[in-house]
Amino acid sequence: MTAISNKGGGGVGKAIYRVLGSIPTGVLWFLVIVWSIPTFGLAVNSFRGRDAQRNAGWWNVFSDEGGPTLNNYEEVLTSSSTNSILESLANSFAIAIPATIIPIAIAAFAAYAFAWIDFKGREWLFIATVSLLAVPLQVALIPLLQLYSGGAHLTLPWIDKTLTLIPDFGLAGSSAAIWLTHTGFGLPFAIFLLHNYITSLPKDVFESARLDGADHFTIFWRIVLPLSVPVLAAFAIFQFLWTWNDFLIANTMAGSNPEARPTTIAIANLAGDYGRNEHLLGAGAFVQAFFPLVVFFSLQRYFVRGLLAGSVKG
Amino acid sequence: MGETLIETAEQSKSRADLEGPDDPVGVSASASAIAFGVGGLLFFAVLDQLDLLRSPIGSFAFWPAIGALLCGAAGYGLRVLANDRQRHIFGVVAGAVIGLIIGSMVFRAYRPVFDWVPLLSATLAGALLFAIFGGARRNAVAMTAFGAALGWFFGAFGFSATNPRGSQLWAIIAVMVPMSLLGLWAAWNRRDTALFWNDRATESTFNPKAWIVVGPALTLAVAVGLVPGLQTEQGVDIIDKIVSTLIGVAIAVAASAGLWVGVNLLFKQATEHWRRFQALSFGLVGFVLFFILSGNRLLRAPGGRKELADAIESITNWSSPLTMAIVIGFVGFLIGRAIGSYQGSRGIEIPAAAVGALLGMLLGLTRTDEVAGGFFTTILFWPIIGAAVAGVVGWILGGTENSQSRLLVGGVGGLVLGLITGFQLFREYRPEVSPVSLIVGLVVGAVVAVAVMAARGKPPLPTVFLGASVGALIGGVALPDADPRASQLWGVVAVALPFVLAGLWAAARPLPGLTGRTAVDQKSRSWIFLGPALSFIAITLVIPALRTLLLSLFGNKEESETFVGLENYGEIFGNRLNEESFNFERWRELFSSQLVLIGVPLLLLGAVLGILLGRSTGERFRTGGLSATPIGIAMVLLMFAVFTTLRGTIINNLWWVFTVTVASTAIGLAIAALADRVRSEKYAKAFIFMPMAISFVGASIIWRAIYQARNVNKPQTGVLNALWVGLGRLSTGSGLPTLLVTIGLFALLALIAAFLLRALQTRNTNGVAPALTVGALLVWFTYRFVGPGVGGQRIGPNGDIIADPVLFVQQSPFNSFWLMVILIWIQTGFAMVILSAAIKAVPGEFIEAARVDGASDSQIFWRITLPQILPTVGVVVTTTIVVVMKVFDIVKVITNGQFDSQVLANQMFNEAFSFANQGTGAALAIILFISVLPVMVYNIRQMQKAEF
Repeated sequence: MTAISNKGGGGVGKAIYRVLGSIPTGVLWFLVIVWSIPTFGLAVNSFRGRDAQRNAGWWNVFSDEGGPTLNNYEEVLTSSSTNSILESLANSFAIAIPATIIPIAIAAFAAYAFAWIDFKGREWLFIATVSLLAVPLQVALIPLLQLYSGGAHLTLPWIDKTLTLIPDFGLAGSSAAIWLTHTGFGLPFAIFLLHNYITSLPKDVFESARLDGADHFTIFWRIVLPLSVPVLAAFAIFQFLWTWNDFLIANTMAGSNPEARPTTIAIANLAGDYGRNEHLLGAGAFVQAFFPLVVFFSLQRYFVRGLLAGSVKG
Repeated sequence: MGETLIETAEQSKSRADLEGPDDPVGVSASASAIAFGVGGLLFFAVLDQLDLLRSPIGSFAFWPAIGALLCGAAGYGLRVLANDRQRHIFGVVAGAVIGLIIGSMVFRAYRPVFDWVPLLSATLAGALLFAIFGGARRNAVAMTAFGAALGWFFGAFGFSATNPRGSQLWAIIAVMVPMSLLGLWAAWNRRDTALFWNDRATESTFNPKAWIVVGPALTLAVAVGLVPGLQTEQGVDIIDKIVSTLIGVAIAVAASAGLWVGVNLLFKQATEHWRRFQALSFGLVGFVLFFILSGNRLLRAPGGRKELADAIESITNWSSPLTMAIVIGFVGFLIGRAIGSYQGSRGIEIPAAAVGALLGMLLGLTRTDEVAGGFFTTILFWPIIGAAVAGVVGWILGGTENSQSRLLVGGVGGLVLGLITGFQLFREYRPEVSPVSLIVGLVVGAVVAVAVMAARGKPPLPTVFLGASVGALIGGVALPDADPRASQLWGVVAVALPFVLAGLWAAARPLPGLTGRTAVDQKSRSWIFLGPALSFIAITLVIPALRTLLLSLFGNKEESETFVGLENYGEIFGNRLNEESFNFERWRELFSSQLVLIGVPLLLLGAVLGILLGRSTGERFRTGGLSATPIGIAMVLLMFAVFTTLRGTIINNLWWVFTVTVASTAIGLAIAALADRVRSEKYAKAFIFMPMAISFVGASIIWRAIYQARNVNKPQTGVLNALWVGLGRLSTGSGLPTLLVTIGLFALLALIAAFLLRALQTRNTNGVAPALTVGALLVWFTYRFVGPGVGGQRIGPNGDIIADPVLFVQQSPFNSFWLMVILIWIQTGFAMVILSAAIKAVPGEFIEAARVDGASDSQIFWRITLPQILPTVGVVVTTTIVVVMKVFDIVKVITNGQFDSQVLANQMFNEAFSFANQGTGAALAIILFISVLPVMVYNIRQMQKAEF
């Protein structure tokens, strides 16, 4: 900005230019405030009573009768209340934990094989796997739902008998159906991310290990896995947030089963019942967002890394 | 980024190396505590799962927590105590305490009352057996203790009997004694048991193995402590749910790991124990084959005679705990063996097997009636026979060199299996086969195989048998036959013949030499590593996607079996659905809309300015702020004009793509550029970025509150309407606030005018374009404010002023825009993060050089930074396009497609899952896929180049 103010000349002109020079920073903070107001407003509202919320906007919080209250949170978190999202919170964990752990284990092996084991058709197979990233998950939803509710069967044209390839495990409407789906959809991305990282590990580490007589399993277990912790963490965080915040898969697989549905569905239902529970939405949304926000603020560095590569997923 | 991460990992590794082999006791003690703690947690959790333990507070978490604490403490003690004798005593006492707790807490109903004779004899037998094992391994005492404990358990639980002498007090002791024996064994084996957790590579600052255990436990503890609802009775159920899920996952993971390690071990045999490998792999194939046949109830249960069936049934009944113990124990053994061999130590497999056996026995004891009951005879019998026959064949083949005897063995083995299948097939499934088609199929298959092998330049011999086998199977069973000679006897032949040929195929290849065996061992690795991932992907992604493609060609609802060709697609593009895909009815309004009326002159203005400015520099058209700004604004206005007059699902989706992509990339870029020079950049960015962590559903709820519109007589509670209506009041009022705002507006206008004048004097175009834009908007606003008024107000019938809130969600077509704002709010953070990283990567010397030449900040941004980061902008744009194409949650939660706001993904969901129109839903999904595909392909290529 100095270059401009030099040209500006006289005292008043200088002052005007100084004001104008601070506009960009002002714009930035203005945007920050605009971006935060929605969240902030709902946060304030979540501490206001039902009547207060109905009669005045959240900016009237200081003139509320009775002041701030925790009643909304209590209602949302007390299991005896009909509006409780507590059980769905448990479901969210029951979905997000396996859907995060299992793909990591499976994908790490596969990524290692793609990166450091020579076999015929490796290149081709890897490209095929990664290009599955391009498949939007909507494409697989209908058949998957059929699979969970009836198993997989094959009717051969020349036998009168339908062969059962995968029996019906009674997964329809269960949280297992949700996390199995997440696991499958998470794998191409996990393999892609881990593979990029594992190939970038220095080659001589592997070669010297192989000279020492280590086989693939040993190399994987003793060298690759410990070195890959950062990228595993990045994937884990990303996958956790993804599964925790998912609505589409959960709604498809268990939308009608109140015993298995996660928080996102519980809150969407709360929002959908014609305003009766409008006053609970703030508290509900914040309980739902609590764990992602904790993860986000504590592990931002890993999260950004996962995001950089992970936004193509799904 | 990747490189620095590797560096830190290597540094931590080398640090661990420096510390040398004498790892500090503290670390390994806590590792051992964690290992034992996890064991205890699992053990007690299983006991509790089986309803064996009385719970004093009724919470599911109680017993696992106690188990983890007790066993963790024991593990810690075993590791810390240096003196051998002290440690042994500690082990015995700790085991006894744990045993006492279990024994006294077992429900009376389950407490065994038992006979001394089997108990003692089993204990003795176990002790002797393991003493022999242990003698060979030079830890006889430990192994004897272990064997005695195992034997005691079998004696106590496996052979319970009603005995008048037995009392329940003894039952407690019955649990205590073996537990203390186990404790002694653990104390003796101190190094071995801790080895797995003692891996030095993990003792860096970040110990993932520890956190895997500690993390969930801490979360659980926090949840239990903090959430008030969890302390109620229903809350206990909820904890149960979490814990049982965790246990389920742990068991599933352990079972898969066992399977995986088992396969690994199996192929590891190939190099040195070819015979064993052959027997095991043949047996496995036989088992799986017959399991499929038997599981599908194609084969008759063994023995038409009742006595035989009864005998088998009775074996399964009493042996189910034993079977479970053996099976799960074996899995544990495999896992332990694998871990042990990779840790360079032995002895882990025994405790692993023991834990597995114990768990299996307990499971078997409580689930006897569920496990038995026909399962064995109907499902498992034939697979076991098949595995045995095939295994024996494999065993013989693995050691036979002579090719004739090999063929004989293979053929006979195939014949046996084939005849079993042929005769045991249920009559109704037994095909009637004509010998002609059978032979034709066989010959054709063989010829095809020979041709294929000749084309590939390889000898035809083994493959001929395979081809003939497949050919015979297809020819014999598949070909429709009107042949009167067809009979069920030929059917048996048709089933048996492929088996024989397959046996010959397996036997016809020569016994491999050492190189061949090693090759089998080596080659298998890649597929074992890839296997789980590929099969998962195939089952959940590839096959369903192909099936969707197929479904999209079939009809809806009851016509789901009718092939309709491309009719579903025709419906979508021909507007024959509930929601129209294209709606061009109002196209005439395009030319009369305000957006066009403002946009076209702006476009012309920009063009004229660009040409005029270009004259002074000699360019044909000068792209600078003055020409680009009006053109840019005009383009957006014109696009909006198009998208608000032409409607329909697909066009709406395109509008989403256009708006969200442009807006979030532009704002993200602006914030990244602005924040780059601000000191508190980190905080500013964190706030913009935060919406990424919130779910789309949560974001929708947040914005619903903002868009709220209420009755005109009540105060508005949504921020936007409150502001809008407030502005209306202000502009039509006549009080002091109105006056002040008016003065302020004019002052601002004067400021901008002064700035523009000075710019004209100094001929410096810097900042003129934004100033002009803001100025033009201000002039319009001031005119409205002073004149007819702005904001949410209208004049009522009596001349009074009435509030006039905007129905953001309901008023089409701009309600879609307000929904897009939500996605912009979320996606901007993403664009900002990535672009900010790219801006920081622009070499500093470029910018310095430009600054020395007197370039202003905005010139530097437009002329240097932006061209440098253009590829990254491309990635952001494509990524955002993909996200927006699939937008679902926001529309679902706020409007569910009502009020003319439908998008593809939501329509797909509604058609497929609400209206059961699977054909239409599948077609919509495929359309979505095809429209995303090119962008994704481009994106993946870019990302692979960039290697984030």
